[in-house]
Amino acid sequence: MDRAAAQRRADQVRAFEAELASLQEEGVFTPDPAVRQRLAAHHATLLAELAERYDADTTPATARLSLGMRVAALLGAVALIAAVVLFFLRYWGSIPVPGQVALLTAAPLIMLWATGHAGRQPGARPLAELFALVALGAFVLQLTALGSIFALRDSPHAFLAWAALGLALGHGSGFRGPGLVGVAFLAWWLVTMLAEATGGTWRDPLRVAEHAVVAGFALFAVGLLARLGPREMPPLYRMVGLVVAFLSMLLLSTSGDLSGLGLTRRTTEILFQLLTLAASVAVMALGVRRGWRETLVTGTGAFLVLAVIKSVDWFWDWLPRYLYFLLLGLVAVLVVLVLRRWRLAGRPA
Amino acid sequence: MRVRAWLAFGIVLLASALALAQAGWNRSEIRRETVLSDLEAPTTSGGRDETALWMRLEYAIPEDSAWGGWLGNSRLADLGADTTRAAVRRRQMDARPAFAVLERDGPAWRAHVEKRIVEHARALAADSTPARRDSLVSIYRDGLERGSRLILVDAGPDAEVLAARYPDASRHLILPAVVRTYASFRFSGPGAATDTVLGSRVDLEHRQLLVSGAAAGVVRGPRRAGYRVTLATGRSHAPWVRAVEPE
Repeated sequence: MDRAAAQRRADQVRAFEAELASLQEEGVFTPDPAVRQRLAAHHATLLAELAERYDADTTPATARLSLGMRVAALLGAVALIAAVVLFFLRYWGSIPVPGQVALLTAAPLIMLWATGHAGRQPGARPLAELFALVALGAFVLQLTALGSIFALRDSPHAFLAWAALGLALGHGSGFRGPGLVGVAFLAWWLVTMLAEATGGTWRDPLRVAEHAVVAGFALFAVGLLARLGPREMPPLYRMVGLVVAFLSMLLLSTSGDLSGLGLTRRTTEILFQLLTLAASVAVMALGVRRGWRETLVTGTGAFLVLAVIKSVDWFWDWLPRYLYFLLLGLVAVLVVLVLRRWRLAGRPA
Repeated sequence: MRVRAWLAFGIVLLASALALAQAGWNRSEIRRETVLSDLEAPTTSGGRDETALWMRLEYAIPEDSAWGGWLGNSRLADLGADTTRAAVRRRQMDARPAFAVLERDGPAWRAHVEKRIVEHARALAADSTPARRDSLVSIYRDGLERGSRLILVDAGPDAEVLAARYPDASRHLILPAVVRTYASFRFSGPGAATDTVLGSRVDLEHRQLLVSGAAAGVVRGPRRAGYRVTLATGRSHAPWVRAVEPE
């Protein structure tokens, strides 16, 4: 069992207890007092164990506090990364090169140690995630600053190194923040490598925007793997992959000269408008069917952005403004109605 | 909590080791040494929030007027750029790693100065008296002569080929660079159609170099007339400031 599974079990227990209380109140079902007591004792032990071993939130109050801690940790991580970078810039002129190298290397290692230490303390998971994000920020600073100190040639593989650390923290500990940054770096590295492999250069990876479409859907496919753990990671792969793929497809829908397919600009734009339309509907359907919220949201977003772009192209110049926005609103209502229909279809008879 | 600490620590240490190995390999042998004045390599610092001292290489860039820019079509093709008209029409621009050659106080610099003075004089001739024109040309010439005497003269994909072509290390610097190509629009005059040509730009990979240790002490020391900078390049042609001496 991992943390996400433990949290789901805790939520199930809380829901079960609440439903049981409602049934008793409504006079539908009154369990035998001895059974009820045994059940309550079992649940109390189980929740205590889930809280102790997996840092799961076992009451609504702890869940609300956890959310607050996560928000504070995210803001804290951003501030601490800025502090680390500015501290280095403030003092590196007065430190000899070996000292600079030692300081740059020590910073991410110290933050990784702090991550592990905080992770072992009860209830300190958001703090551990904060340290993990700062470790990743310090690692980005380290490689960038080493490049400046020694005038090293810029390399796309720095993105792979940063991705590797983010993914190690995401897969190893289920930290969403470092995991998300890791997947994003991996996406960029894949796009640069595709550019290199097809005769372009990594410095100009979006010269052929189809590379980003391929890289995005490849990451989305990774997010479909059933055995990919922990449970926090697959949604990140799916979300980043779809955002990268749809952004590139929308770019190609409006700027056909970014394509490497060799078609005319107009043909490319029409092709990618149709592909974006088909892919966004397919992704929305998949999101509804599998219950993947991030997939549904990304697909819906791509569909609506395409609708806005095309409606501007077709109607902005010759429709009165009020009619244009009415049309746009009706498209959004249509999307809501389709999604409602899918939602109702998923309800038990 | 399953913190796979060994993996995260390993990634940081491996990446650091690779970067330091690359730097160490470059500096394990000095391939070229060139002495520059403070005109070619003035220093800047980032102010209160950044204490690092940077040396910025100042150099002139030849004019970009022909197909392929100043670098020329064949050099761009050597670098792997698509120089066909069809590619320019499709705006298939790119950026490629290369090596740039900077010449210090040589024939290219003198030709550049003469050309600029002639152009300037021609522009002034239309609306200035001869005395005023001579005065302005003189001021302009002085300005050029008091500035950096480095000029970009060549670029190519292979540093060794460039080193053989420019063997005088005291005059020619060979530095890692990026060559960018772009669509440039030429307007010949009223009534003429605008022509689209392939342009190129060469940027040094690291135009600003970090100055630290004793070299930084000399620059930060009491004000002097100027300084001489010994710039070294190593096995991978990455530059570093080897020494700074007061003038």
